[in-house]
Amino acid sequence: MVQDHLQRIFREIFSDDDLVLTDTMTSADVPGWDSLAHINLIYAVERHFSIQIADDRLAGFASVGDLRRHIEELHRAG
Amino acid sequence: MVEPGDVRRLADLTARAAATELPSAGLCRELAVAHERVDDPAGAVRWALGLTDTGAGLAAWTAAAGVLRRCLPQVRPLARTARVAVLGSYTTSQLTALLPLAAARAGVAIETYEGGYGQYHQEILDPDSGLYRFAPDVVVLAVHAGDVALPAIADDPDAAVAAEVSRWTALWATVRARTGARIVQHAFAVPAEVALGHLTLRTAGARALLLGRVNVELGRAAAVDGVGLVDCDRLAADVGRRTWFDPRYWRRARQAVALDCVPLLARHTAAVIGAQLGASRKCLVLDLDNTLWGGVLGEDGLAGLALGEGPLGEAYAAVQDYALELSRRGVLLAVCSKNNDADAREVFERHPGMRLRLTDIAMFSACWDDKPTQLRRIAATLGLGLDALVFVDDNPAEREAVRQLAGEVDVIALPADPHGYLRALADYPFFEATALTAEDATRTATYRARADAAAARESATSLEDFHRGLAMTATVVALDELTLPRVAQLVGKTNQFNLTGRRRDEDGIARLAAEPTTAVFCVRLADRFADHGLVAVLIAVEDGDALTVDTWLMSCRVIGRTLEDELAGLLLAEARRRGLARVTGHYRASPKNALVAGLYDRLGFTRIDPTGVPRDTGVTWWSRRTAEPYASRSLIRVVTADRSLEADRNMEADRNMEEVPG
Repeated sequence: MVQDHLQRIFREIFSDDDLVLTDTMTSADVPGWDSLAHINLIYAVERHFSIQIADDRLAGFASVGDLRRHIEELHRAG
Repeated sequence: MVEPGDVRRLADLTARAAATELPSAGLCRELAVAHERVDDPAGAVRWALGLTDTGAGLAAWTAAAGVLRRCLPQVRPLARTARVAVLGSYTTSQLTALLPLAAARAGVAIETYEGGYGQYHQEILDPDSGLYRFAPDVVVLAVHAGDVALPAIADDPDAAVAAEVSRWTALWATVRARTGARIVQHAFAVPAEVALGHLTLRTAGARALLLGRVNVELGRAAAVDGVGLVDCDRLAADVGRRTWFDPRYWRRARQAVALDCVPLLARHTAAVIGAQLGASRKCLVLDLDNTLWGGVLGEDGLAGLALGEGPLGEAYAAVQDYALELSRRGVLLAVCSKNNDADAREVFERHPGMRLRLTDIAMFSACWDDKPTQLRRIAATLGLGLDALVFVDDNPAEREAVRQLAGEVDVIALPADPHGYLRALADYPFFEATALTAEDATRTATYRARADAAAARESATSLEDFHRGLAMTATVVALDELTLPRVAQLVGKTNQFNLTGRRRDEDGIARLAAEPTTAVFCVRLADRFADHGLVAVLIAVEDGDALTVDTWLMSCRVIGRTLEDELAGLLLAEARRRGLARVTGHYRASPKNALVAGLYDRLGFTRIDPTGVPRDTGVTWWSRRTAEPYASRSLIRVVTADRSLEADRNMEADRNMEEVPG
């Protein structure tokens, strides 16, 4: 479920509807995933899921799966 | 490669959009993408632009901006283009990325340049900076309150404000000294957090107060310098200051405007850029029933309308008051209603709750034609393009008809509840103007005069009916000592409707006219609006079996009135009377008389360029047999004057008539 929403956010932020997320994907796999896109992505994720990702986690996601699991944790906690 | 699945998906989404009048941002985005997938860039652009009207946030706008970037180059170019440089005091990458989408919505295709982070001083002051290499048409100063040098409490408030204002105006002056670029500056949003509390209002040097004063003084200077200002404090107040500024993202990435508010900022910046480039909308076209008043005039009658009193009546009065304010700032108002004209006007004249008067309406269109047709007529009458009109109507079907059949017209959708109408109107940003002038308040009167003049043309269903409606009379008068000066004047200076271009003075004309083999027609024309005086001269001489045209000219006052058709009839009749078989004539091209190059052909003459004579380039010869029947369109009544009566009475009018060289 979270994966579907996350995929839609990725597609919007990268303006690419062919983008298909996998857990092992990293910023190296997605063209245009630079620091600016990352801020946009984190912002959109926070707004969409009504969560707040801590400052010290911002740059700490190793992969899309890592980000998805963190969203799910915060979602459960919230 | 278009996949069948993509086509089915587009059809499915289109059906979903048709079922709802205002598709959500998500649906707009999906439609934009779906159109792009089936290689329909125009449809993709349309839905990407539609998304900007849904109040969507950063993510949806970013998606639509991508669609626009890919598809806009493949569609018909927008009317205006501009190179826009964004210089900021914070991270302006998102604003710069979304600005092309917002600008396209405002009718301007832009290319952007983003200055280095926080480098607006350097970009402006360094003559070799990227800014100047970019050669911008517009420079946007995207700056924020955090960059304003004001203390928490200023000892000398006036000096503090003046110093800050002059810092900005000096930057404007440098930009303008080095480029012809327009400048658009973001005025400052006052932060929500105020340590002084309510004491702020009692503390002249308080920073929050001074920020407001800086905005006012920037406005004063901007009005003089022609700089466009975006009132960010109003936008911030509108969404709430806590929403406008997100401290987490300020600290994470130096975002001085919350990312979900950047689309709103881009939209309003684009509206001000559009105004600077002359792309603003100019005319608000208002429906009547259930838009300007509650109820349906044709069913509820004048006395049954909700207008002025009670909660509902006040809601409609508020809409009218707002329209009046728009009118005073130079936006034209027009009415577009399906009603009987006289009944609709009666409401304006008699209903005590009406705020708008007929004199506030530049063009009043109430009839039973469909609204796209009425809108085209309104635009044509006011001399505007359809892309200058904004249509507001409570009826979703009418709005949809206009979107489909007059797509250049912008359509404001009204909510179901009339209490929300004013808000819907006020949220529309593309009436933005560069300045408020004395002329703005009187513009409606100017356009109404134009509409009234056009009304005569409009009421005729064809040009022929229009001519008949003029009730024209052509009077053939004698050439004598009274008419000769005017005839000589016409012969001397008529250029456009002049077939042979022969110039003769009074003596020359009189000598030629005195010959019995010469026929002269001097013709006056009058219609129900004006007496145009002596406006046509035709001189022909006998030459063998022909009556040959020596001179044929008409004043440019009466071109397009079909008077030439009547003159041809007179000429042929005269030739017959003299027992001649033909009328002949020639056209000699001059730099100005192309208008009549095809005249003889149109009148049924045959080309007879002479043989044996060296062909003169630019001259064509024509002939028509007098035995052939000739019928003019008879749009002008032709009479021959009793010379003793006519000439005296009208001579003075001719002399006093200032003739424009024809």
